[in-house]
Amino acid sequence: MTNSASAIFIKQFRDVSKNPDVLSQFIIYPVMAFIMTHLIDVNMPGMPDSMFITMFAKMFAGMAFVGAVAIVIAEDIEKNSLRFLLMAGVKSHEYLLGVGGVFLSFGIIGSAAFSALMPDADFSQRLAMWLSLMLGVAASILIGAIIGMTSKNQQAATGTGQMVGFLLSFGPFLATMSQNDTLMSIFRIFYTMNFVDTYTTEIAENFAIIGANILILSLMFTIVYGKKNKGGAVVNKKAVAAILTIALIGGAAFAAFTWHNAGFISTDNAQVVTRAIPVSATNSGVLERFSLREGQNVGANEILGWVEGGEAMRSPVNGLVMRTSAVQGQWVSPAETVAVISDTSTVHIRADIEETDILDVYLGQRVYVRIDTFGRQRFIGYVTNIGTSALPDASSSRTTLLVPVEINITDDVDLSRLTGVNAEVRIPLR
Amino acid sequence: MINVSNVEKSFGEATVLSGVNFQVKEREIFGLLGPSGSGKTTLINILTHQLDADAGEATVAVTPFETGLMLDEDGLYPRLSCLENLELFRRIYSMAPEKSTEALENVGLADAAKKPVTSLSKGMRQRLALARAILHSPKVLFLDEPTSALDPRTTDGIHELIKKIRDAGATIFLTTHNMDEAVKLCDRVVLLHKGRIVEQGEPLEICRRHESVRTVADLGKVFIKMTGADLYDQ
Repeated sequence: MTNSASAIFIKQFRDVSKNPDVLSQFIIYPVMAFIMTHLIDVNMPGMPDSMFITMFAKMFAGMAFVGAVAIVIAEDIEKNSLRFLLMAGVKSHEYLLGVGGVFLSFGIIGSAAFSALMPDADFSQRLAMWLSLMLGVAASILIGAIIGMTSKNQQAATGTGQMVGFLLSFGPFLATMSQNDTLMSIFRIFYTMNFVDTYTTEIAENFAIIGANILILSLMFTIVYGKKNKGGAVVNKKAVAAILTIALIGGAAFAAFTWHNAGFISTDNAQVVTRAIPVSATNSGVLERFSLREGQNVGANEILGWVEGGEAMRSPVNGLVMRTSAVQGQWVSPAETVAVISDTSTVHIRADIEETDILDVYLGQRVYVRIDTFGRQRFIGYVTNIGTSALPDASSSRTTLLVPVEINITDDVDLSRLTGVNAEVRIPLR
Repeated sequence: MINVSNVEKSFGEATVLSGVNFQVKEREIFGLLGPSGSGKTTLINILTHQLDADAGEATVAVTPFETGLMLDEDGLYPRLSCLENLELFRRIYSMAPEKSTEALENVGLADAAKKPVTSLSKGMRQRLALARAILHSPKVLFLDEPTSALDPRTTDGIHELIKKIRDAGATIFLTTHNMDEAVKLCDRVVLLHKGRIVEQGEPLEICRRHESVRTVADLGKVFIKMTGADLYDQ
């Protein structure tokens, strides 16, 4: 940290410590979350244990800091303090690091408290939640700073700060509760809709959006800070250009990403599958003339082996030997599976689609498939079957269920030896 | 050291500065005189990069870093102590730790070092603002109404201090509507009325030039004669 930033940090820390009203509002949210979760037994049907923690965490990171920072900076401007800092050559990032840094340290502690309070979370989930809340606090500080910089006076900053903070934290809440598509897509791009909790699945995307928010807000702050100093002598033009470039690239990448995903259902929860047919022994006895190997091609009706004193065991279909654990000379009993034959004529992709998307999927719908074995090569297929019952997603504790969908690939590619290989599926809706 | 040529500034319909021309030499105590609303503060704001002039040039021969500023709206942090207020800027300027205490001693506030700004009298507050303005030994010092609301004894103290700073090599640009202050303190003055310069020069020479003004060294009367307005009018 530069001298100026640390000097302002020390000043701001002393100032806040003499102003307990400001401090108390950062303590109230984690304390309320603790009380509602651990001391009061609020038990509404269907309510997850973590509800109050995530709710207060979002209010903490999305609302409290916007107002507090807006007031502090508006006071600096109204009382003329910022002007003296500008004259002393304090640059925008130094001012922001100094004033915002104090609030960010409260944010880091508070976010840690929330992720520690979270029930049923493992270490990496807590870490992801902590990090996302912390970055959210940084974005809120930037918004508060921009409001403070652009407000006429402290009262205006208080009003705007409260309104913006309220919108930022309750907008996503409303969108989630109502499942309204328009609201969801509007708030999707705001950091407050991208906090990570134990139910989150798209963590990388969440962090990317929060990061993009921070970049754009930093740029906006640099501009409004520059406007406060007409001489322009203290605005670091190189820094502005660098941030602008990064923000533009990030913005373009984000736009491409959203465009790419809009109007698509996509999942990487898909595999190459075939129907597996078990072949069992015809009667008890010793296995004779049995030499199947895994991966071996077998034709329909081809003799697979004999059990002593019984009839031949035959492959019911054209296919491949998927598994066999039996060996010649082994004693087997009827109904004991000696081999599993993969019916290669049934090879297809099975994709698990979230229940919330399944109504958009129909038979015969065109699908793009990417199979891990083939890298980035894209195959075209169509939906041949839609499951009729939903299954829980084994990979997370989220409540969204998955419906299996079968997809046949129309491209000329032999998948028969790739059973179990992972795939990605994108179903265009347009 | 300071060069102002043909500076124009209006806020909407209201013209605040019009065709303002003057120079301030190095190591000069320069006074900008005029009643409230004559454009004094606007000119300081332009010279300290707070405002852009609509036309003309206003330049200071040193960097903003080498200028000191004291304003009526002083920008002191009210909850912090005198020392903490100075410590912020001492750290920004990366100066030795004892400089803050020295600056407080210079303005006679050593005993109030630990007091929060809210508990200071108006005079003490102004002295603290001056201490902050001179903390980093600026080459050019802008003082907007440095002695307004001060009792005569404190005013004399501040005047001595300003002269001392000038003697140490600084150029001083101050605004005032106090004619006595201008005569006692300033090497040269500019009389500003409704954004225009009505007279400039050494205070005594201005008085001599306007012979009809009998009382020697009464710039106030010169001003009334030239503009029909009283300097103390709001």
